[in-house]
Amino acid sequence: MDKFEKDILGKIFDDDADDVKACPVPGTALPKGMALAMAYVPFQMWETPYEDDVAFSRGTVFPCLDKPFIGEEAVKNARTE
Amino acid sequence: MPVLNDKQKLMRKLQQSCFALAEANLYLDSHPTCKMGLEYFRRHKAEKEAIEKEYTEKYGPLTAVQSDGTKKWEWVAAPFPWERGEN
Repeated sequence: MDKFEKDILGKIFDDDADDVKACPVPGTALPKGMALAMAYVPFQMWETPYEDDVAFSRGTVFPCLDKPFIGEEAVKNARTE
Repeated sequence: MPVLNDKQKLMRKLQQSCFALAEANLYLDSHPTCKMGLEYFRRHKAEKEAIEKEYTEKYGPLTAVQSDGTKKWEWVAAPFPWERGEN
């Protein structure tokens, strides 16, 4: 279970959490003042691209965008920075 | 990976360059002043133009508009670039 599931989902369903606050979920990592119920996409920064032949077969020159959907096992070893 | 002949190898290199250019294009659309991105694009553009020049000199035009034969319409004189087994 990755950090998100443990810290947030885990807390939400933890019925005997002893925090006095109404909701046990900690503030998320997003900066203050961001509107609720809106989608955000982190801004991509430059990085050393793949070599041309590798990029051509991976379908992207940017390793950070190289996210093959390979079913259930993708969740565990997905490369997220 | 099938063994590619020289023509197919050159076409593959051209495809790789064009792909890298398309990727750089998308990136630069949202990062127009990124020096690294601009440099990447410039380098690949030069590479692509060199490969395309070599390909067309050796194997004929990649697009009809590249034909410049004076005695014959080159575009139909050689197999089309997309024909199976040709590229």
